[in-house]
Amino acid sequence: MKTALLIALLASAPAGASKFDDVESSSKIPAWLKVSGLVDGRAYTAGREDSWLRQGTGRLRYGGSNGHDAARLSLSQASLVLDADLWSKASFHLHTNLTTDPPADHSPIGIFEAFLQADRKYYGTGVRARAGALMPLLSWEHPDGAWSTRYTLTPSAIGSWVGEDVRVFGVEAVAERPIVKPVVGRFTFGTFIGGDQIGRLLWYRSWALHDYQADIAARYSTPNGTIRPFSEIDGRAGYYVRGDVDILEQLAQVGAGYWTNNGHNGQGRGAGGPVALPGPPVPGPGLPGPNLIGADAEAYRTEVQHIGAKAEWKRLTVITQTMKVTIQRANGGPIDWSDAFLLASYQWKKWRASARYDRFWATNLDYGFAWTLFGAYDFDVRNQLAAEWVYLSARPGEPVFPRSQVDRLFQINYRLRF
Amino acid sequence: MKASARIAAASACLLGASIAAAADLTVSVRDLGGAPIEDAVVFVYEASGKFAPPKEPAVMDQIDKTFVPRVLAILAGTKVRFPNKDDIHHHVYSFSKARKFDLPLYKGEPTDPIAFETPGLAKLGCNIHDWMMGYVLILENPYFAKTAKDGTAHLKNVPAGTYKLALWSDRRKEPVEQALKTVSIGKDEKVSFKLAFGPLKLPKPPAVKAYK
Ligand SMILES: [Cu+2]
Repeated sequence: MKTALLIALLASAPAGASKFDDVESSSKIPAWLKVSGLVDGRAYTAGREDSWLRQGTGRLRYGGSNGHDAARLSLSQASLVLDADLWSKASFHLHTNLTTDPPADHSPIGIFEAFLQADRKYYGTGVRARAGALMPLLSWEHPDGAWSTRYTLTPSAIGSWVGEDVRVFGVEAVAERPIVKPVVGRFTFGTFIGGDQIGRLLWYRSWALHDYQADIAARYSTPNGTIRPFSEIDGRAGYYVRGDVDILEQLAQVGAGYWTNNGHNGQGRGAGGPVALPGPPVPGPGLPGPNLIGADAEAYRTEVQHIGAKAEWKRLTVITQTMKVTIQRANGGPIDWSDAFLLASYQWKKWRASARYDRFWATNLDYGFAWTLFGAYDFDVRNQLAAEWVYLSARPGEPVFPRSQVDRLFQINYRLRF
Repeated sequence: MKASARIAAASACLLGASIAAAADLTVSVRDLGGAPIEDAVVFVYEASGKFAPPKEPAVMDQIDKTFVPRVLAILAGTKVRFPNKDDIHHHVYSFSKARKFDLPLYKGEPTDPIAFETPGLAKLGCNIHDWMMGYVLILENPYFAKTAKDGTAHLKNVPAGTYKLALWSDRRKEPVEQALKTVSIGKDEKVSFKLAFGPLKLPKPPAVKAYK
């Protein structure tokens, strides 16, 4: 349905077309293929610290350079999404991203998701199966096409981490059916390989707020080594479960789940025992100790517990979510990384205003909060002009990073959907 | 021009079908296999005269996340209401050349009806429910009708004369000009279209809610 624009760009209507023609179906794109996507162009000014994405200590998408504030332009994201009907009940979904601001030493182009999907109804129960490289449902802030945010530009620390660090290579099934009118229940189960170093980014940098979306070959080059979150090291499949209840469809939704990579507590494949890693884990952006990141061969046992709720009443949407990421390495006890946020968003005609408060912490290691304020005007369903201000304050624990850190970002974004 | 149309309409009204000034036409629409085609619009392609749109707005409901009717044919200048009969919000829009509009997030009745002045096709969508799909066909004269389940449509009170009859269906990709049929009102009482049609694509909600 949103393809008309792209089609207008790619193919003009055939000669002799009548005014009564449907421009979309008379184009060269066949009916079984749906093309959609978005382009986000941005102007920003950011505080002095450069972003962690470029090996700085800043925890936002953009930062300054050489200790000075910066004002720049960015193509923060261009997405092309193809949905192809393979046969009546199955389709293939491919989502690719392009950005002028990828992580240091990483390609600006990548595949975000690629999976086969089938859905159908069996006696009132809706069933959906997906297989491939997919994003498990963890974020409440990405309801729109191309996994885009609706209420703000920058997702919460939870949504940011999910986007940068979580993807699974596996299969997933969702079943949904009415429990009692007007309550609908939904259950999700997935199992996957890969993801043995999901969490390592948190360990290195702690929580951050940004809208960079990792591709399936994600690679973060840090001053202390390269993080490849989706590597499979111990040969053990991970899994996730999730339960959801919707009341009156959009009025209220509650969902909770558990996700684990089932990592073998720091054990490498066939290593025959834990890999010894000297020194305690010491996180802190920009100040990783020499043994902080650990061997590439180490599988992190990462477990995620999350619960969230969303309510939509008239023009107001309220979302809250909390997530605890527990990371266990070969030596040392597990460390919990937690975030909770509360978001309120109000839509009035073509205007939207949102505010979000994030509070995040890691056991004895990090503590901080962030405010995000967002305003947008929708020219129509495809064109949006938005402005956003993000303020993040963190106080990594002693003695790692004794000074507090403040990151600021103001950005103006034009989003074109097609 | 307006006056003559009014006189024609008035005389048709007064004297019914007994005079040759205006007559009805039954049109049957079938695919090549003989199956009846529903929701096709048959219309007089060109008719002289100026036609005043009805004062009462037409209605495109949204019921159970579906546009009702799926296909709405109107005379250019007609206003259309878009009442939402569901408990949830819809966000109806059109990006078609004939009429672009946007009704952001509403329940119940959005403020004003939308006027469709330019003849052509407006394809409707909903920003919340991607699969919702509807059509408004905006025509130049009031001589049109939509086929029922049995594939027949009844054009009423068409002034006597020879016309080109056109057919529009969302199941046809070819321009309507490729399948014009000459009819002689007053002489012909029945005509039929037998054409190739694509598969009927009814909007289908996902089996599992897309977590929107
Ligand atoms: Cu809708």
